[in-house]
Amino acid sequence: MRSIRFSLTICFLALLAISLGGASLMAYRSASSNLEGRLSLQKELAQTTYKDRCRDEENRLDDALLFQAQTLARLVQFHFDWGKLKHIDLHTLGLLTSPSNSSAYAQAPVWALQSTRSFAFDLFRRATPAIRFDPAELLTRLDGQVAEFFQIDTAWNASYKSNSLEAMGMPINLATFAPDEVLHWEYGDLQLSESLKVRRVVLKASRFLFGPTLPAPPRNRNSGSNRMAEPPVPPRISNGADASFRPAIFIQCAYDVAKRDALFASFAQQRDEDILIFASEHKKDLEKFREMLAAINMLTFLAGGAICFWLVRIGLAPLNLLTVAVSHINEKDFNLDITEKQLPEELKPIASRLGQTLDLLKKAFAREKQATAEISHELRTPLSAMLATLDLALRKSRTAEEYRAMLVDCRESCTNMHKDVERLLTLARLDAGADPFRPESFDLYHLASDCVKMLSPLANSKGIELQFEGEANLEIHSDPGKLKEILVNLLHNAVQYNNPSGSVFLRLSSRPGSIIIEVEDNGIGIEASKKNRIFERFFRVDASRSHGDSTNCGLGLAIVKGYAELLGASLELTSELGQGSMFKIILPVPLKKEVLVATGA
Amino acid sequence: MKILLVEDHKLLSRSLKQALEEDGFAVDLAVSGDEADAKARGAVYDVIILDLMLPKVDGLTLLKGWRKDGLTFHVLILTAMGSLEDKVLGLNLGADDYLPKPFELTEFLARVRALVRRGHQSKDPVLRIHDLEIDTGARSVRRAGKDIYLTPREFSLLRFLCYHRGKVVTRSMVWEHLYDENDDNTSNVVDVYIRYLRNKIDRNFTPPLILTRWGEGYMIKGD
Repeated sequence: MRSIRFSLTICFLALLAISLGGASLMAYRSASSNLEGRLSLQKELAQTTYKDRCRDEENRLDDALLFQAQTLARLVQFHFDWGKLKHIDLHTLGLLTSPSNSSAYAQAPVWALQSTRSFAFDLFRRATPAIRFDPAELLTRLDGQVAEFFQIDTAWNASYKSNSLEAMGMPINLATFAPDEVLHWEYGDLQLSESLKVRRVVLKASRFLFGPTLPAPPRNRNSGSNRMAEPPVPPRISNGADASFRPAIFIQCAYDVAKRDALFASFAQQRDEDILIFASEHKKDLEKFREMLAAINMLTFLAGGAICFWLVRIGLAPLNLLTVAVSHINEKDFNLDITEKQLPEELKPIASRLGQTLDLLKKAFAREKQATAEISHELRTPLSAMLATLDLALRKSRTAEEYRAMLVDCRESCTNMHKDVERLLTLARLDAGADPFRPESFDLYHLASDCVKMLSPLANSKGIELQFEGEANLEIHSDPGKLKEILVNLLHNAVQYNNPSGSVFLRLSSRPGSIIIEVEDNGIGIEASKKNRIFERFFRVDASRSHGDSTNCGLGLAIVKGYAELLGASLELTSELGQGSMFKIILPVPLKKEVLVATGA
Repeated sequence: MKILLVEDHKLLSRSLKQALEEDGFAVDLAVSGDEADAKARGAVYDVIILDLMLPKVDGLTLLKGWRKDGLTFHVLILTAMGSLEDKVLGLNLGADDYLPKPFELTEFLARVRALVRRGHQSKDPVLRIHDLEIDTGARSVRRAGKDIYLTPREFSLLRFLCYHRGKVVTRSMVWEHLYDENDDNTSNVVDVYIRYLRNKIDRNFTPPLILTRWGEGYMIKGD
């Protein structure tokens, strides 16, 4: 498994990455929508600017057209009012030459005298009843050179067309064009030919100078800075009587739309360029924002990672403490060198459990060590005794009696060793499970009395009374070998650890489903503190190895316990120091007798 | 040379006692810790041979108590616990030697003899006085190149006298060091053995080495 620190860091970083990603996505979306909004506003603005410029330009051109048309109308009117020629001419031409300057009126006569081929004179001379203009002259005289095409129509069929019109004409429906108005103008687009489209103004004016006067043309037409926002409102005269006897003239001025359109196109191009700039700026801004976001995310991520590493380290510090403490444990030192106060709540159970386990282990090791010492002692001491005895025998020549005594001693030592080895092997077999339960039917009473007989000599030699009582013919189905071993061991102990002239009782009793075997003595008894340990291997109430004549290596009761478990019997001990002990075995076996009775019935 | 053998295994203690006695040592026995303690404090021993696993009081506790109380006899630990830690612990608590079971009888006896020598500040196992040679290791005696056979008691007495050469050895000293607790303390037993020794060592040789100090005891000539 990976380390906790690694996993936690990864989890935290993943969480951080997800939240950063989410936040960044939201921030990016909102920022980009803001920027989009800005971009569309800018585009709209560019479009509006473009439209305004177009409109302004169109208005300017329209004003210029109207101005020219009015100028033309005045010239035509003047053409028929010879008596006022000089005044009007001066007035008109003064306007034409320097309309923004009021002192033009003073200068006009000078201009008129100098010009022998004056436009007005010419007009007067030629245009009766026809109307003639020298187009070049006209164009040069006319302000602004907006209009390229001129056409003058009259109610009496006199008309004039500028050369630029060539064969084309600009038609007006005279009958319907403002029939009631004396002075009126209208703007409109007109397709002159397939390739030529013009914008024109049609001005209807009176033939004569009197009547409704033309409004003064805007004087600041070319000043630029102070342009008129609106075209002059045509005065409307609704006098039908006047209209009938005042023959009207229709003056049209037009310019090629293509020129205007070219201008418009340049405006459009300007607009498109602006839009392109805006778009690229938008793109740049977005890119910048993305970079910034990425940088912020990266920094946050790195900082988060470092902080997380640090935090996890702090969080895992108690675990490290525990690890260090645990790593100091070895086969010689089982102490967990840590106090619970140093540990957080979560680790306390582990530490305390570990401590308990270590204590158990320590005890187990100590027991193991003790057991090894005991085994070696049990085996080595008689071995040394035999060796020493044999060495002694071989040291020099001795009498036959001496040899015999030594051999007898050796034999006894061998017998004792054999017993110990057998006990050890019995326990080893029990541990390994190699000593199976071998049930057979037998008479427990018979077996118990055999055991008593076996121990009688020992009891007699110690002056101990061995008593046996029980029901005869106690046929049971169990393992007689193991039961005998149990009984012999218990009886042996009872005799061994008894006071001189004490007594030992063996009692058998049966209950339905179980047999109770009691071995009781009134001997030295066992301390309460040692009661629990008495069934442990190599445990001896008295540390002495040999008690009287017989060896005691502290294995007998361990074997009794192991066998009792194997037989499924429970083993109880009641004892009081100085009063004696009673071992009680409850053997859960069906009585053979009962079985027979049951089947017989 | 008196030895206390503390061992609760009957056969072992019996065999060792016999072997030591055949080597000319007087041997007292103890089978439990408290008995050993009482005897060690009550009599004079050259060497105490101590088993560690004892009834009632264990050997190491005994040893600690003895050393604490300033008892200086040599202690040979004889035990089935033969691990390095056990040996180090035993020696550190004041034992002079440590012999794990099982052991060879000859090694055991050699170690006991070595401890006895050490008790008498003698490094050489062969004691030489004039033309008398006593090999304590081989338990043989020669005078002027001739082998002399001595019984264990005689040998023990001669060895004791030689360890105290040039000094008067009283009868009670002899008694304390050469006879165990089971011997009958009859007054002339030392004199009897001195006579036996003189018969074997001094009769056919000159000069006589064993001298009698009337009213005090005996001494063997110093060089």
